[in-house]
Order: sequence, then C-alpha cells, then structure tokens
Amino acid sequence: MGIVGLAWGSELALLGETQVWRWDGDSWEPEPKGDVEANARVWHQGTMQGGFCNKETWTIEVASHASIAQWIKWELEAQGWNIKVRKPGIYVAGPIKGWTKSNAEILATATGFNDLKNTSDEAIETWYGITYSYDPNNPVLPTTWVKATELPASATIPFCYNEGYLWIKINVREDASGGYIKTRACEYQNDATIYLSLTVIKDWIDPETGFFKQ
Amino acid sequence: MKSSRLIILKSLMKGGEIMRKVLLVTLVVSLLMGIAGLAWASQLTIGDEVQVWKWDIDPLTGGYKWIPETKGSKLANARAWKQGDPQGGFCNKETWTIEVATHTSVAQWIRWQLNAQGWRIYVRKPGTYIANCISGSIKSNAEVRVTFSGFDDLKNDLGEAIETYYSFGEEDPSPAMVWYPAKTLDSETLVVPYCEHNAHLWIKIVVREDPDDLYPKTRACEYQDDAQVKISVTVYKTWLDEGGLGIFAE
Repeated sequence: MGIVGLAWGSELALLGETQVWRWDGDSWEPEPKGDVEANARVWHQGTMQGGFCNKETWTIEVASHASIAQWIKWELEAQGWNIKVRKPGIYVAGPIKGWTKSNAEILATATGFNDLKNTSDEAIETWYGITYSYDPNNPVLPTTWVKATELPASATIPFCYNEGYLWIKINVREDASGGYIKTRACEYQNDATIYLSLTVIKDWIDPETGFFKQ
Repeated sequence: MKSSRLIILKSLMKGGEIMRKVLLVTLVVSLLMGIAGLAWASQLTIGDEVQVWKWDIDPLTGGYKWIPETKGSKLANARAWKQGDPQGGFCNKETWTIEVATHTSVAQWIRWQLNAQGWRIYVRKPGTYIANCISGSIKSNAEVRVTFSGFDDLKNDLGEAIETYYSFGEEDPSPAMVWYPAKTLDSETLVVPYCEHNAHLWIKIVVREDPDDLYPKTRACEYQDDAQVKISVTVYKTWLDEGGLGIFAE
C-alpha cells in the first residue's frame, strides 16, 4: 500500500514551483525559490480540481509527497598527526575526534592507507585504533589495533550520530624485526584519502555539489 | 660491411642517448613528485599538541604498559601534534573526499659504549708493546661520524715522546692489524654505517732502548696523552635544540 501510494504520488504532474519558508528558530525565512542551492523546494502537483453540480458527495483525491535527500554532517578535527621521535620505541599519539551524522547509512571507504614510509620506501610499522569516548583526564587507549596495511577498504556507518576517536600507533625500531628494518633517522609519511558517501541517491541531486540539479 | 656496422653502432648509440634522456626525465619527474608529496604534508598547519604514550616497562609492576610521555616537555622521547585544518561539511553531495596525512620525523639517536677511557701501562723493560683492547660499540639509526682531537704520542713533562699507535681491529691481535700513528688520528674521520658495530681499540707503544727515528731513548718517567673522541649524528632535525643536547628545542 505504501509503495503503491508513493508510486501514485510520483505519477502526478508537477505544476508550478511555489515558495518555501524555513523556520530558523525564530522566524520563517524564505528559501530562494528556483535556486539550486535552496535547502528545499516545492512544486504543486496534480491537476486542478473543481466541480459545480448537485451531487451529494464530491470525493477529492489529494496527495502530498516529500522526497528527502540524504545529507551528511561531519567533522574531523585534524587531517593527521605530525610526530617527532627522539628515541626508538612503540608510541601512541592522542586521538583525533571525528563525528558523522546523517539521515541514512554512510559508506566510508579509504584508499592509500599504509605504513609511514620514507623516500626510500622504508617503513615504520603503523596501526590505527578507535575508541568511542575519550577523557583526557582518564584516557583509555584502544585495545584493538588494525595495521595500516590491513585496514578494511570500506565500512558502513549507521544512521544516527556517531562519534569516534582515531588513534595512531607506530613502532620506531631500534633493531630490525618482524619484517621491518631498523628505523632510520628520516622523514616518514603516509597520505591517504577517506571518502564519505551517501547510500541513498536522489536523482534530483547533483552528486558533485549536493545542490539541486536544476 | 664495415659501414653498415658503423651505422648500426651509431643508431644504437643514438638509441642509448634517447633512453638515457628518457630515464633522466623519468628520474627528475619522480623526484619532483616525491618532493611535492612531502611538501604537501609539511605545508599542513600544525594544530594542538596531543598526548603521546610509549609502550614501556612499568617500574611498579615490571610489566609492559602504555606510559604517558610528558606532554610539552623538551625531554619527551616523542611528541605529536594534530596537523591540517579541521574538516567538515553538511550537505547532500554524493561523496565527500577527505585528504588525510600523517607525518613522522625520526631523529637520529646513538647508543654507544666504551668499556674504558684508556690504558694505564707500566713498562719495566724497553720493547714494542700492544695493550689488550678496549671494546666499544656504536648503534644508531643513521651514519655516525667519529672524529678525534688531541691524539698524540704519549709524552712526559719535558715533551719527550713515546712513539704511539692506535688500531681498530679484532678481539685478538694479528700481524695484519693496521696501525695509525697517534699524531695522525686527529686528521682522520670515521663514518660508522647505519647499524650496530663493535670495535676493538688497540694501543701500541715503542719504548726505546736507544734513540732512533727522531725519538729519544725512552726515559724512565710518566707519559700521558689526553684526547677526545667525538661521536656525532649525521642527520640533523631542526626541531631539536641548537645546543646539541638532543632534546626538543621548545
């Protein structure tokens, strides 16, 4: 019934675009009508209805339809860590907070994550961890670490507010071990990319800008 | 026949030249790309310093645990900062691309040991003597430069010298050992390669019964030489103190 109802609604012809107002907390603010950057736009739909006679009852089919696009609100408080090491050892650096909020599941994918490497391709063994809370006065470090070379290619972030604290662990070696050489005095780096993608696609949204297509 | 061989040879040489140019261009482009990559990360703004923990022995329990490094301390073994601007967004575009970058700068460390500072030699009769070795070890994560100053023959208060040599060799003496005159050591610079090295230092003295080779007969006396060996890093990090203490500059 629901599907039929929606299908029926989408079959109605669109009439003219009408003005939309948005409640900003204090007052109704008009959205720019006809603007691809508007937060919401509305069209009247269906055909003009009317009658003029003496029948006992008129039945008027009314239908309103809303198409809600997926949005993502997110924040990452830094793009990475800059670590300076004087002596060998295994170190963990304090977390970078990130959060996402959406009205549907988010697909997170990652590329380029790897051990930190120097220009000679020598690596520092690197792991990442996550915790879902962080108290600077009583820090609890991650108990599970995933090697940078084994990070999953994608993950699904559930529909709701998700807060996470990302941690990094590096092993600066005094001696070669575990397939890694002794960590040479040098600069090491890893540049990577995270993609946060919608899982609900609306064909009226421009995928590049997130604005209305037209 | 000869001319056709010459043409083939010339064309091969020409081909080789083109190949060399291609390789050179490829090398330069790769180098530039590498530099560009590093430059990009280093251009990120440095944010707040974050806490760092080191996996180390807990002095209370003797077991390993995460020990917090002293945040903001010049004496910390490692420090970390967040880098890059806060990232965020709020809209309906299909995919957000977030560039992330992590950078580690590893300073050179040197772990070294010398099991004595020198020899104390008592000689009853003239002769050429070598003294059992002083063992030293150097371990580092980059090349180590070793320089010498003040090395000379052992001398008495009158400036009379005992011909003195040093050698870096094995634990046991061998005739093949190379001996460096003490007075030439100051001009030597040793570069110890990146990894662990054990060295055995030997001293040789010629206590003369008669003068020769511009050395006098070795008078019964006390002889001495005070010198310095300097072990230096070869990789410098600008974030370490300029005074050479090996701590964070700030």
